[in-house]
Amino acid sequence: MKAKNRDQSLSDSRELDGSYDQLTDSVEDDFELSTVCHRPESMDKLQEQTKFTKKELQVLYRGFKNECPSGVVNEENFKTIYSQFFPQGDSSMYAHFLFEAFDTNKNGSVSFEDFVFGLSIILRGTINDRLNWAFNLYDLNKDGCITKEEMLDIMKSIYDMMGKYTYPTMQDDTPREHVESFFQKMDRNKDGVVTVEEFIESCKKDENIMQSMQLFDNVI
Amino acid sequence: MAAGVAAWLPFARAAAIGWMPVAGAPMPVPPKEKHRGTDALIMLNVSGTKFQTWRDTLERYPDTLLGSTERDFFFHEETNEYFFDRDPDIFRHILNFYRTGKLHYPRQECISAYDEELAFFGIIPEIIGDCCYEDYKDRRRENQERIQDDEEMDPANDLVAGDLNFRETMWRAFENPHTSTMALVFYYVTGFFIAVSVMANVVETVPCGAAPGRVKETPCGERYALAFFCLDTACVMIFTVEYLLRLLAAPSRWKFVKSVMSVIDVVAIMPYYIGLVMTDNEDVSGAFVTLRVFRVFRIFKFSRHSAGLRILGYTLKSCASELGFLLFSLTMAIIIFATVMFYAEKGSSASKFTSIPAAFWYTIVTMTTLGYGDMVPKTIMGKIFGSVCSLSGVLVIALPVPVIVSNFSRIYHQSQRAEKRRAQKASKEAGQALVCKSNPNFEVHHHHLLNCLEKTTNHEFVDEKTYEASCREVTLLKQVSRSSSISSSSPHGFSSCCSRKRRKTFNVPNSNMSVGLQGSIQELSTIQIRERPLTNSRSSRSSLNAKIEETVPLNCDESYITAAVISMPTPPGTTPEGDDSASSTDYSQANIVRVSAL
Repeated sequence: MKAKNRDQSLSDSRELDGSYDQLTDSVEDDFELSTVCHRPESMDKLQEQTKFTKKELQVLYRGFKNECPSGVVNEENFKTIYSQFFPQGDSSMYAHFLFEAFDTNKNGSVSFEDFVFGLSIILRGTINDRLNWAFNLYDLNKDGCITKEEMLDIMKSIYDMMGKYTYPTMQDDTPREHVESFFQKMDRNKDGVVTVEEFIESCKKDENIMQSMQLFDNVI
Repeated sequence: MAAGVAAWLPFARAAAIGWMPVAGAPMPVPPKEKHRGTDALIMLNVSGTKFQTWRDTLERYPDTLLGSTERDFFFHEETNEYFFDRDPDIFRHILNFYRTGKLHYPRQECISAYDEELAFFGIIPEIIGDCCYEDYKDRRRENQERIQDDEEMDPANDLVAGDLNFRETMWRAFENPHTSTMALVFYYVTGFFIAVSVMANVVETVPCGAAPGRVKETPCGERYALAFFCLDTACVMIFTVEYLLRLLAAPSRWKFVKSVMSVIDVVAIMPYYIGLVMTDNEDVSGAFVTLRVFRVFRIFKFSRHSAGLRILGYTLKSCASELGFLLFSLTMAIIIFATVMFYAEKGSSASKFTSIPAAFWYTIVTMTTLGYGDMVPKTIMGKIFGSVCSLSGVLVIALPVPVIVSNFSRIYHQSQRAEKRRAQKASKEAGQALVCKSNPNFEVHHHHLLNCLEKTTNHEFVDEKTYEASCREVTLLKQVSRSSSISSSSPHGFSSCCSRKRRKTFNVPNSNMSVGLQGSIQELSTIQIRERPLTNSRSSRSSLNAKIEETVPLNCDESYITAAVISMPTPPGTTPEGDDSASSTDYSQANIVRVSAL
């Protein structure tokens, strides 16, 4: 709104001026200063709400603020940052799903609080919390169950991150097959969708997954 | 990868939670976390000005002085800080480089002082950010030129004549006349003869008064034919000798022959020789006369003597497209107006506008505001159009000229800048390649992350070459019929690999091929192990994989089997566990090696 008003007044003044020359339309018109600046809540509050220590919060915030000086990450930025870790493939879809998962209040940007809440669950949460978070990530429309299509989208996005140059060569139906085997494992009552209870139960029964979950204990 | 992104690594690792429930295989063990002390502040005292920063910030670039253990040499025990006896103003920029990842060049600093500071702190100038890079390179170039000029002015720097051989001395004499008096004399003599020759060509055609016994005035060339011929001969002698000497002295003869000046030289002296060769035939004498026109090209030989002429030639060449446009627009206007005038004057009797091409002359003369008056329109319509023609002539001629001038100026500066940037780009990229090996701690965790992704998807990252090689092998495999037994397919597989790789290592006798599946896998595994210590190169690994792919019965088309053979340490119980676990870690090592090449 503010930007529009600015533009309007600018063009008004120019026409009155008479010296306004359409040919020399300057670039400044398009240049919108992003005056958005978000400050996170105080460190004490964040410490109460998450399971990080003060020092960890400091380290996290410094890294966060370095990449996003305005205090929030929008989806483009998010994708750019994430893509730097996967130079060979296309991580934009997976980054999109991650963004949706982190952006809990659905306002199109991830603030430091969202960021730190998410990380707190993944890195410091209980097994149930983590599995819940993962379920939330997979459940694209947040209706409480994962359908095969949703899982296929997720799977494709993961496989996209590998890029073209893989061994063995990526076949077109690899993601689909993977989804099939996933559903075979997870879908207890064979009704074509995986609910959160089925998901958590099946994951707890699977040793590999439980072992992998231990990975997150000492990431920070 | 930007150094700042390293701070987001924990996030990227956390995001891997999305892969866990999906993965078929267990994740690899994460690398041990080197638990250092909590992040410490480092004090840097540069000639009294104190700077402070986090230790992590400095260690982003372990390749520099501040990021490596080299800074310990500057640690001052008494004050518990690092003391550098250097310029604090420039140090500010260097420290900013660690903080932001971008190195800037401040305009007000002296370029050589800045270079010295960069060299001291171990920072390569090629990583200067795009915003300041051009400025930096320009200043540097100016500085180099200044140093070079100083050196040239220095009389003590003259090369001793004996250092060069005769050929090089001659070439130097030709190119730089002021190096020796002989060269100078030669320079002036050739200049003089060029002038004489051109004057002679001109004077030849001046009427010299009537020859005795004739009424008509004859040009001097015919009257004193012999004198002019002798003069011409002398000049051509000198030019020929000069050309041959230059050809002899040139360091690269082919390049010299191709150069513009050499072409001019040849064109200048050719007519004389052709004239000598040709007989006094009436038919060819006309052609011969035409050839003599080329003698005027001798005037271009002056461009060796004048730098301004060379610059003019270069500018015309660089402005060719604008001149072409001017010509084209003029031609269009001429044709239009000539047509109009012709049809306008058609009615008038005794009109000079006999055809459209005849009207071209009128149009050109009018448009360039010359107005000779040999052709004038007589009808009213003709006069109207004639005036329009002359008015538009002013516009058509006057408009493009400033455009050409400004275009020339712009093109000239632009080409200079473009060439500058091209030259800088190559060195800049070369510098980038050498620059900042990233933090090893970060790299280890990043590799582990990529490893997890590989495990999740049961595919591996490979580089382009290996990918193409494996594509080829897949097509090869498809040609081999799968229904045939292992024994018949194995030789195929082996032979295809053998033909590519060292035959010596694969001396598996054919008799072993008849062993069943278990045996062949055992063979495979043993070969696998044997291969390992010999080579660790990527391509041999891919051939190894190809072997496995081709010979293992792919009745289940899943790629998991291949992965399983690679990653899981227990093949059908024939080989000892220890070897294979070693081989599997070797694989993962090879993995890491490959990934780091990304």
